[in-house]
Amino acid sequence: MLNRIIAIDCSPPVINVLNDFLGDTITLESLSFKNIRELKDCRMIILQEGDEKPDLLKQIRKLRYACHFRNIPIIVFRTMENKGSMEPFITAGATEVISLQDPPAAIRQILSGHLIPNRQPLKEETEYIDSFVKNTCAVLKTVASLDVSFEEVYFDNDFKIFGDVSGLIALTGGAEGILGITFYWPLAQTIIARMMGTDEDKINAELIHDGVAEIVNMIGGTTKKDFVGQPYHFEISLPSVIVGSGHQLGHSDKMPIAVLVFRADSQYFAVQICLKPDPNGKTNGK
Amino acid sequence: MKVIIADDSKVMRNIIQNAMRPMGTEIIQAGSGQEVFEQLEIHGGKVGAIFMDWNMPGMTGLECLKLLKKNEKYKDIPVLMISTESEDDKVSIAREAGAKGYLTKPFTNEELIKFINSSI
Amino acid sequence: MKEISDSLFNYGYSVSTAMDMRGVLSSLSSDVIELILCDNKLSDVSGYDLLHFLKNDPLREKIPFIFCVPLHDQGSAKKAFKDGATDFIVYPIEPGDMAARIGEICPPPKKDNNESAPQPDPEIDYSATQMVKITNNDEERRDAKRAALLRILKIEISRNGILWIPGQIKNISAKGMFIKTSMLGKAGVELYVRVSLPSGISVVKGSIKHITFKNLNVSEDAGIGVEIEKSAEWVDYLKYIKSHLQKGSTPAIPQKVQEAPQTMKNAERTLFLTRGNDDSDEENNADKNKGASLEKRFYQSLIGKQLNNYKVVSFIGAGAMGGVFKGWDIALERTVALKVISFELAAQDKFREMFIKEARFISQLDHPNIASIYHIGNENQILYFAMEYIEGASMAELIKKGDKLYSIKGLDYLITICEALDLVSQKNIIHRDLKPANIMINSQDIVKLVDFGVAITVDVGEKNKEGIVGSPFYISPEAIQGLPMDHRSDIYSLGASFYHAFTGFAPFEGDSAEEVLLKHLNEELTPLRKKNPAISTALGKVIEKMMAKEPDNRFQDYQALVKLLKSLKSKAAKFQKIKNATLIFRIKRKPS
Ligand SMILES: [Mg+2]
Repeated sequence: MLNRIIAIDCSPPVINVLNDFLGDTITLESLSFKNIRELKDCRMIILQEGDEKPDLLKQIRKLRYACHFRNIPIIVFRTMENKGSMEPFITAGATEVISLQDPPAAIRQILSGHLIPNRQPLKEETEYIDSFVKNTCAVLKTVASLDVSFEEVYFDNDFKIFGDVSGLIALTGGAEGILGITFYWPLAQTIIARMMGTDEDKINAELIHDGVAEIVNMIGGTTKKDFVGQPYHFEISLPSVIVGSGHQLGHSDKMPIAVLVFRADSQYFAVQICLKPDPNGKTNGK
Repeated sequence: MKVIIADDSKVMRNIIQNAMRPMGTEIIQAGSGQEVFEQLEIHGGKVGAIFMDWNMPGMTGLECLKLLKKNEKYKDIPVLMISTESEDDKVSIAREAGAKGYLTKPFTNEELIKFINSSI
Repeated sequence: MKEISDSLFNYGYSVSTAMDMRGVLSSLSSDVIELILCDNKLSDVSGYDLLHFLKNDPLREKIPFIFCVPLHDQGSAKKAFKDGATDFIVYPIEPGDMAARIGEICPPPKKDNNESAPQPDPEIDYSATQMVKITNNDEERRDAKRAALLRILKIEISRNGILWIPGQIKNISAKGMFIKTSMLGKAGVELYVRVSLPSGISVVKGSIKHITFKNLNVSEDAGIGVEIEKSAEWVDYLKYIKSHLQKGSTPAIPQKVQEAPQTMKNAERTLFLTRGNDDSDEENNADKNKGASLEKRFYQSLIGKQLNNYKVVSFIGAGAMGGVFKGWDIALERTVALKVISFELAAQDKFREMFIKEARFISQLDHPNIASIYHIGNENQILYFAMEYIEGASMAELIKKGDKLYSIKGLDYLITICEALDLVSQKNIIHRDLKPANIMINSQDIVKLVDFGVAITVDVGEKNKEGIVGSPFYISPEAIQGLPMDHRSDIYSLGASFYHAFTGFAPFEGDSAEEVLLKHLNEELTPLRKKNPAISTALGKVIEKMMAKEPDNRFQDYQALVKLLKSLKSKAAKFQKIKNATLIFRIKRKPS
């Protein structure tokens, strides 16, 4: 189990709060931002807002990027009395913004909640996740000769997007939900260039938007074929493109959103699925 | 010979166009069903084949196919579907509507070339 | 500061003033502000805080911000510049010098004699912040007004009507609008636009005409031109915008969703009022709201996690003692409900004990109509228990849906709950929070009683030191008064719950929880038949007796109650058979 928490440029009050509740099982590493080398075995990242930190938002963005779409909570501690909106931090990629003035019990519980390990998919979730994994790899292999490996899955109840460009498709008819794929710019550019058999510098924003939409369309299209005759069968609609990062597209208490993380060489991308099976649908094998 | 490639994705149209380049055919691109009819009008219906996507904004590829087959001037132009709609029943719907061929996305370049060669 | 604003006015600027951050923000949303002049101390926050806030607001970060500080208390210019201030002026300063420095950043408009710029309000004599806005002539002013109006008209767009992403109107005409947004697509695709009108939220339909973006991967300046289909809603929206442009006023910032007043929402929730400390001044409320938000965030952090053997799948809702989740038991491979104690309560030993006590109470209550408990656990200081998961709806949801519960089925539910509560009372336990939301009906139509979170035993109940516990709509008079309680208090609350179920109205309603509580104590109950004539007098009488103000005037035990209800049921069933009617409890007299 990963038990490393990184506190970046945090002052003693914040460190004390952390030490107070973390106990022995978890190691707290206090670092300055420029000394961060590796996030690989990190369970949580703690940052602190401060007058002397004009780059905090930029740092959050960099850290979120370095998390490679994995579910590593980034927690920002606020110490200033007057607080503006926490929105900019969340948009930049923070998971939670906590004030040192918040009740200690609340701070402890929220941090504890984020430290609890992720769950693995339920059996019924595996049924559809497996198909999406297989087809995501197959589509990119087919159209871009790209070898892609599936890294991990976790669940969220917010449809959040952290990346540069996303293709999004609504799933309707029968099963309902949403399917999205999110890339950072360089990987998107590489993939579209390979799809079109041309050089990366010939790929402009328009082609990337268009191509990412077409990729999500193909993943949805091939996957729905796997679900013929099952409650997970759906129809696809025309894709949308979301540009930029930090979007919160919706919230679903009832249906968890599965986030699948993939790797292509040293780059990562994510596929997000929220799929509610057709209540009247035929069950597997009829 | 002139060929229309109808797909709402510019990337996809270019991929198909690239595959056909060695054949020396003149390529006309269309981004929707409506544009297919506009291009047919411009070129006086003298088109050897239409490669047709299914999911497009406005008039879908299937609707366009059905209208073409009803149209006296254009009903003999072979329509070849290239689409992510890949279930068997979708393929038969398109076949019944008069599609001469059907290629499901995604495809490799070799599969595309093979499909093009076998259909025109 | 009056001199400054007067002198700037003489130099041709029009000036708005504000004393505090709130005033600044309201001016920013109602006027075109081209420059902000700010002291280092406002009445609520410091100038640095305001600066910091504005520079983090993408819509306002570009407005030049000038510090204007007194000689004797200059603060830190370095900090101001670092945070994005454009200039730092120390006063006293000659008006001409001041105007020159401001003019460098934001040149004054040419003086126009025909134009009488709005006078600064002479009443406001001292102001900490001044904002300079520039108006040249009518036309420009209208354009500016228009731009300001459009800037605050936030809308949301969606492709499927489920996920909405924010947008901002940049331009609007009868045909459609140009929206700044991150959601692009393709020309021709259809979408929905959610707009805000004084009458509420409207949705108009449109399709993308064109898409613009810079050749960059950022959402800055990306947007879509949308043609909107003609509809009554669209006509209303255009009218609304036009009227504001003409009036020159700006509409209030559109609200997202209209929520029920907080007090009434509270009336549906379980109260935890500690006696002697039940003053709910504003500060207290703010604290409570903040607490609720922290609590919600804590629950959010658990989604997608695994507590020991339990996968946390989705969030169901917040109860009196904690949050309830749908979970999966990986050992026994079954769905469970997970109840996690709220952080606020977890910090106090008293409540941790209460939470464990709840688990113990339920484990004593082995009854098919009481949701059973499987396990109690503690992971990472998070206390929780796993219990029977009920797939179905609560009676509160059925009432909300308008289900006709004044049927034999509804009567059956009541009888079953009474039988279950009979067991509860035999164990000397009082539920204390009986309400429609705690009565679940599963997919096989079986009723289950849930949430013993505030249950107590009768002997503890006599001490009853905790103050008021219960939900205002259904709470018994003795609970409100803090008198000793027994199972008859539950009978009252059950009566109130079924009053609501049978008539569709809570027994007592009011604008605030306090008002409702007072009515439980003092107001005579409206007979059920007055609210729903389909209910028989006999059944109405039963509920009314359950809800007698004096416990001694109620049914004294469940057995008597059950017996009476069963006889009513058989009568109703017979009648239903004869008439083949859906069910009417009341037997109409035959016209003679
Ligand atoms: Mg398409």
